[in-house]
Amino acid sequence: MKRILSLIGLLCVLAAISIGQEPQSESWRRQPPAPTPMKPLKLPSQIETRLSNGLTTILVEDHRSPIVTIQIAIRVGDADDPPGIPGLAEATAHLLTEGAGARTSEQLAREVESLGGQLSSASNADFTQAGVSVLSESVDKMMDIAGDVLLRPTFPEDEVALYKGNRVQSLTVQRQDPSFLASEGFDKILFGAHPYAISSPTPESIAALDRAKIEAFYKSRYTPEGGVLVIVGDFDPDKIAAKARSIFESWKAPAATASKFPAPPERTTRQIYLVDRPGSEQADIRIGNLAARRSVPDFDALRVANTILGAGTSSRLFLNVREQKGYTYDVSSIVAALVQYGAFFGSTETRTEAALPAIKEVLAEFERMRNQKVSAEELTGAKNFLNGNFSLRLSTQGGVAGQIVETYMFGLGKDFIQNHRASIEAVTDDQVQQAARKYITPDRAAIVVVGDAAKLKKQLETLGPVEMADAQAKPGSK
Amino acid sequence: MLIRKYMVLAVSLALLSGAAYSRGQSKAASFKVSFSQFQLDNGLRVILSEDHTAPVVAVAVYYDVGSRNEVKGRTGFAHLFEHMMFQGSENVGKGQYFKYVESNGGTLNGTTHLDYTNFFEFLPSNQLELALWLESDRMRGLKITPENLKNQQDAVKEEKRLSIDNQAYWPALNDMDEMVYRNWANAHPTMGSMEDLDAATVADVKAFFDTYYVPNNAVLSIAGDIDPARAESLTRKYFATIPRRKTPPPVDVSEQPAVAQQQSTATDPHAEVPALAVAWKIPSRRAPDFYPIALLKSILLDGDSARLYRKLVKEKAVALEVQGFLEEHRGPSDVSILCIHKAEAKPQDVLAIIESELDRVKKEGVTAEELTRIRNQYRLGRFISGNQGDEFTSLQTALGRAMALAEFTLFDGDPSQINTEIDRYLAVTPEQIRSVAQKYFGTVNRSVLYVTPDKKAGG
Repeated sequence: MKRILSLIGLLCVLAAISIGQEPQSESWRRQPPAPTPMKPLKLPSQIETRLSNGLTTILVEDHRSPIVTIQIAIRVGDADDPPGIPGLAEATAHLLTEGAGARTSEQLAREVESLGGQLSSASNADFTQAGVSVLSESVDKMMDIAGDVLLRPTFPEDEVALYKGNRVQSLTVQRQDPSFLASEGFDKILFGAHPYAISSPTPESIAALDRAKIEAFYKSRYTPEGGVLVIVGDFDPDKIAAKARSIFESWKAPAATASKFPAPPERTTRQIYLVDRPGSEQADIRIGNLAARRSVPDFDALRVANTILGAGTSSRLFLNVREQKGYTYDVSSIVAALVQYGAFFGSTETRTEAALPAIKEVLAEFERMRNQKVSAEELTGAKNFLNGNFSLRLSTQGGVAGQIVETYMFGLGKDFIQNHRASIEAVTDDQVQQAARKYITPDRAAIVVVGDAAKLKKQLETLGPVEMADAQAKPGSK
Repeated sequence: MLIRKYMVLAVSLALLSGAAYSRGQSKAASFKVSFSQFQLDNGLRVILSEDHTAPVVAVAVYYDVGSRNEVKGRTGFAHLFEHMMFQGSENVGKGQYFKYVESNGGTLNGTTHLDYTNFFEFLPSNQLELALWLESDRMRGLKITPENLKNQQDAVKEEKRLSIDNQAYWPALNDMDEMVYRNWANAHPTMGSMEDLDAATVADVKAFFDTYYVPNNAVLSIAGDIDPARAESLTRKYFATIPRRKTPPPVDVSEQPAVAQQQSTATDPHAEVPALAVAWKIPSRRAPDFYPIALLKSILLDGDSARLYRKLVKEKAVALEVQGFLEEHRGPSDVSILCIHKAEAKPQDVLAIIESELDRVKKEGVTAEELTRIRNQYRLGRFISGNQGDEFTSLQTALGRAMALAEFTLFDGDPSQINTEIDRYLAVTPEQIRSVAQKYFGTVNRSVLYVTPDKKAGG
C-alpha cells in the first residue's frame, strides 16, 4: 500500500485513489458539455427625470417580487470631513435616521418596521447614501419617511450624545479586527495627506462633535444637486414619479462648496510596514499602490487584469497561494477605485509562519502579470466571470439599484449598463498587459502586515527593511 | 419502478408573463413559486422550478449529512469533506469546479451545517448541462490524493483561524454549543479541532463518501430559465446510473431540556470590551412551539425596535451591541444573545436586564403592534434575506428559490413549504408567544457565558 501511495505524487490524477464507484465506461462524461446558445439579457429600462433642484430620479419597474427598493446618493462623503474632524460626515449620515420630521428615533424605527420596511443610511469616502426596502403595499408611507429623513433630520441632542458614546466604544471593538488594522494602515501610507487616508475617526474627534457642528454640516453640504434617487420594484410608475416629485422637489440646494485636497504622495520604492498585534494567530497582509480612479478610460482592462490575477477561485493568486501552497483560506486582489483616486492591492490572511512565503508569491504573481501576456483561456474566462457577475447582480432589485447608483455617481454615462458587457468583451491581452504595467507596481509597493511582530519582524527583514507602524496613530517616520 | 409525482401549484401572473419589466403589470399580490418534482430509481429526489424572467439557472444539491454525523476524534470532518468535494472527481480535475463555473459566468459555493451540506451553482441558463455534469461527476466518486487532502486540511485550518480563532468573541461563542447541548452530536463544533483535522486520512474520506454522498441521501433542485422536459431528461442522463447505496445510519440528536453547563467564563485575548452570551435550548424547527419562539426572539432582538436593543443600548446605555441568533436544526435548536457591553457595566446587571425583559413578556405578553411589525418584517425578509442572510439567496433569485426548494424537500419531504411556511409564522398569536416565554426562557435550559478581555495577552 505504501508503494502505491508514493507513486501518486508522480503520476497524474488518473492514478490517484478513486473512491465511490469504479470508473464507468460512460466516456461521454470525459469532456464538459457544450452550452446551448446564450439567451439575451433583458436590461432594466430606466425612466430618468431631472428635478429642478438638480436631483435626478431613475425608475425601474419590476413586478417579480412584491417589494420596492430605493437608493439615494448625494455628493458628500467622509473625504469632506473638515480637517481635524474625521467622523463628522459619518455621524451626520448615521444620525439622519435617529430623528426626523415629527418622529423620534424610536418612532421612526417602529414605523419603518411596521410597514414591512428597512431603512439605513451611511457615508463612504465620496458619497452619502440612504437605502430602503419595503413591501410594495407600503411604499407611499415609506417614501414619506425617507423624505423626512433626508430633508428634515432633527439630530436630537440625546441621540447625538448616545451616538458619540457608542462610537468611541465601537472604535475599540473595530481596533480588535486585524483586517481593519491592515486596511487602515495601508490607506494611511498610500494616501498620505489626502482625506482618503483616514479610515475612521478618533476618540478625540468624536468628542469634538456636537449637534451644532452636525447640523451645520448637514445644512451646508447635503444637496440634491448632482445626486440620484433610484426606485426599483413593484410600483405604478406614474404614481411613484408623482410621489417622488412631491417629496423631493422642495429640497433646496445650499451654496456649492469648493473642495481642494492635497494629492497623495508618489511612491518610489517598495517598503514593508509592520503593525504589531501581539498574540495574533495570523498575519493580515495588504500589498499594493495607488492605481486608477473610477473614471479612467482603461478601467475595464484593469478589471480584467485584476480578475485574472486575484478575483475568484480560478485566479492566479487563489490557485497559487491557497490551493497549491495552502498558506491561506482567503487571498485576492482588489481594484479600489474612488472618485478622485484609487488603489490596487493584494490582500490575504495567513498563519504567521506563512506570511513571508505568501508575500513572495503575491509579488511574483504581480510581476508575472506585468511581464507576460495572459493566455487566451484566462482572458475569456475573466471576461465571462465579470460579465456573468454583472448579469447575476441584476437578479435582485438591490443589485439593479446599486448598479444604477454607481453608474450615475461615477459619471459612467447613460449607455454604460447597455454597453458594459460588450466593452469587457473587447478588452485585448495587450490592453491587459498595459494596464498591469501601469497600475500593478510591485517594485514600489507598500506592504502592510498586521501580526505578532515578535514572530514576524525577523522573517520579513529578509525581504527588505521593515518599518514599525503604530496601530493607534501614524506610521513611524523613517 | 419510477416514482413520478407532479405538483404544479398556482403560478402568479408575474412569473407566467415572462416580461419582468413591462409597464402597467398588476401587482404581484400573491407571490407563489411554482415547481414540479420526481424521484429517480436510485432515490435521488429532483425539484424543477421554471421562471423565464432572467436567462439564469441555479442548481443546488443538498446532502443529508452534517457535523452531527461525525464520530469522536473526527470533528470538523463534514466541513473538510465539503472542501474535498471541490478537489476533483473522475472527469473533473482539481480546481476545475471553480474554473468551469466562474469562467462561464457563474458563481458557486458549498456550505456545511449541523444537519446538512449543500453545493450550488448559479449560471447563465445556457449552461445548465455543465452544472449537472459537475454535480453528477462528484456524486459518482471523488479522486483523492494525500496531497490535496493535506492542502484542504491546511485551508480548513486557515479558515478556522480566520473566522474564529483570530476574532474577538468567536472562540468563546463557538464553545457555547458544548455548554448548551449534552448530546455530543449537537455539542461539538462544526469547524472541528486542529488535532482532529490533522488526523483525517484518505480512508476516512472514502468511508464518509460511501456512506453519505449517495443519491438516495440527496436532493437536486433546479430553478430558473429552464425547459422542464429538457431539464428532466438531462437529470436522468447524468444521475440515473449512479447506484443507490445503503441508507445511511440514523443519528440520535435527542436532548433533555437541561443544558450541559449553566455558567462559564472565558477570557479573550482579542477583545477590548467584555461580552455576555446567553443561550436557551429550544425545540426543533417546525415543532409547534418553534414558531412562537422565533417571533419572540425577533421581538426581543431583531431590528432597531427590538426590546433588548432599546433597553440595553438606548435606554440603559450599558451595551454597544446586542445580537440575537436563532439556530434552527432538525432536532434540538437554540436561541442565543451576544451582548457586547461597556466595561463599566457589570455583566450580572446586563443579565438582570435581559431577565427582566423576559419577565415582562411572561407577565404581560407582547403587543399587537409588535406582532404586526414582526409579521411584516418576515414578509419582507423572504425577499431580502435568504439562506445566506442576503438578497442574493432570497426568493428574489433563482438561486434562493432552488435552495429553499431543496431544503424543504430534504428536511420535510415537502417543497410546497416554500410558499406556505411563512403562514405558520404569520399565524402565531400573542398568547402563544407569552406561553413559550414562560415555558422555555427560564434557567434550566439556559447557559450563560461571561467573556472578559485578557489584558495580559494584549490585543
